[in-house]
Amino acid sequence: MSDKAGSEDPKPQLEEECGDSHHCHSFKERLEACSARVEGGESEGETCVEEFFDFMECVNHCVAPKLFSKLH
Amino acid sequence: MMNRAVFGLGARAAATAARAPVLSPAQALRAQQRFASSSSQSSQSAFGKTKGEAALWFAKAAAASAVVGVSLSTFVLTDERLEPLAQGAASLMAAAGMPTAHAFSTGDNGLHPPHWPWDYNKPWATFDHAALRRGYQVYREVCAACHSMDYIYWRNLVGVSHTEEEVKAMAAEYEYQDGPDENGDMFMRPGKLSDPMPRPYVNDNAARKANGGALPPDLSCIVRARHGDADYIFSLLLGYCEPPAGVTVREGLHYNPYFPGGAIGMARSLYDEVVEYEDGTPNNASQLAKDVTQFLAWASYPEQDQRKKFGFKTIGITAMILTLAIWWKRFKWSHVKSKKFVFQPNAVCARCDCEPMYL
Repeated sequence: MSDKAGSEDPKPQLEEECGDSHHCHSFKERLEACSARVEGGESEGETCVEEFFDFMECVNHCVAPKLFSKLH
Repeated sequence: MMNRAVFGLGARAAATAARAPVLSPAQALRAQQRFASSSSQSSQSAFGKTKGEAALWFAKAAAASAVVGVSLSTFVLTDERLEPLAQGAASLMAAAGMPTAHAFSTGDNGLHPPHWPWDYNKPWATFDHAALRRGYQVYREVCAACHSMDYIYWRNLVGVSHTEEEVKAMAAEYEYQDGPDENGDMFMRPGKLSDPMPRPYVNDNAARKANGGALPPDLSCIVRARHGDADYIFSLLLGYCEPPAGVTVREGLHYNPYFPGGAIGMARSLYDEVVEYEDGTPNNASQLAKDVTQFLAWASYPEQDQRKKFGFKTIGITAMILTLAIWWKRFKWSHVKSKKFVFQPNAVCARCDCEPMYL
């Protein structure tokens, strides 16, 4: 009981850790580069959906086995 | 008569002797050595004289091709200097009038949910019925404000998440229309076990009107009805986030990468501590989502526990019957399989005291 998470959601923290890990680092860099490009108005009509999905795939792959061990 | 029978046996013995080549001990030894060398030492192939050398050659070749393949593909995929090549090919194709193919747009299909390690997916595991009880509570207190469960009846909960008395009390909290009575009028009465879950809206149009044109789907079979099953439901419930750069979401819609198209009418509804569990389980958003997803999975696959039990019984009993059947067949066929037929053309009658019929 004691090692399980309290009423604080463990998912955002896990996602942040996984997003910063070396596995997903390159995807995060690409997403940030894309966001900077699009928000800076450098490319017309571009969206960062692909970069975001690639990054999230990586994060989910990392989070999925860890999250359920913290839940009941 | 006697002679004939003896001659028959003698001829058979001679025939068997003639079939087997007669070898002297020295010859036999040489033959054995020849056989042994041919099996242990393969022919003088390009890969080496012995099997060991050939295996080493193959191992070296495999390692070398792995190194070359990985480095080449990394170079091709990541090197920016090769990008003009791909762009040049694309512009050539465009100049030739060949259309560009966009067979798959990731955003339109939604982000694939990961495979969450659901306990009930294990072949020997049942649903966690404490989780189903909590999940029902989440559905009742959060989801049921907009989502119906028309095909789940109060009686379905009995023995699954609640006792009969509890379900009766819960059903009686809602009013159902019944009738007609002796005057031909419809009347309202408290709910019974045989009533379905109450609907939040009288019909779909009312539901659309109240939700900005978006119809909250019925949740009775939602896990069956969505690609990705429970993984999708769980990811969707927690997947709300800021849209990535360049994506705009219309007023009244919300961005959720798991929803095909990204813009979903439903707002995020599961936050930490929106439901207070009676059993003291931590009520963070992930826990709420996990419990309600398991409840919805049960609603879609209510037969799961029974199905697994039957599956185990079926496989176990069939395996025993199969073993018995194999043994029985071999037992019955043993006479046939061990019978030996000998063809003796000259011995018409094997029993020596009888007359040969012809010859």
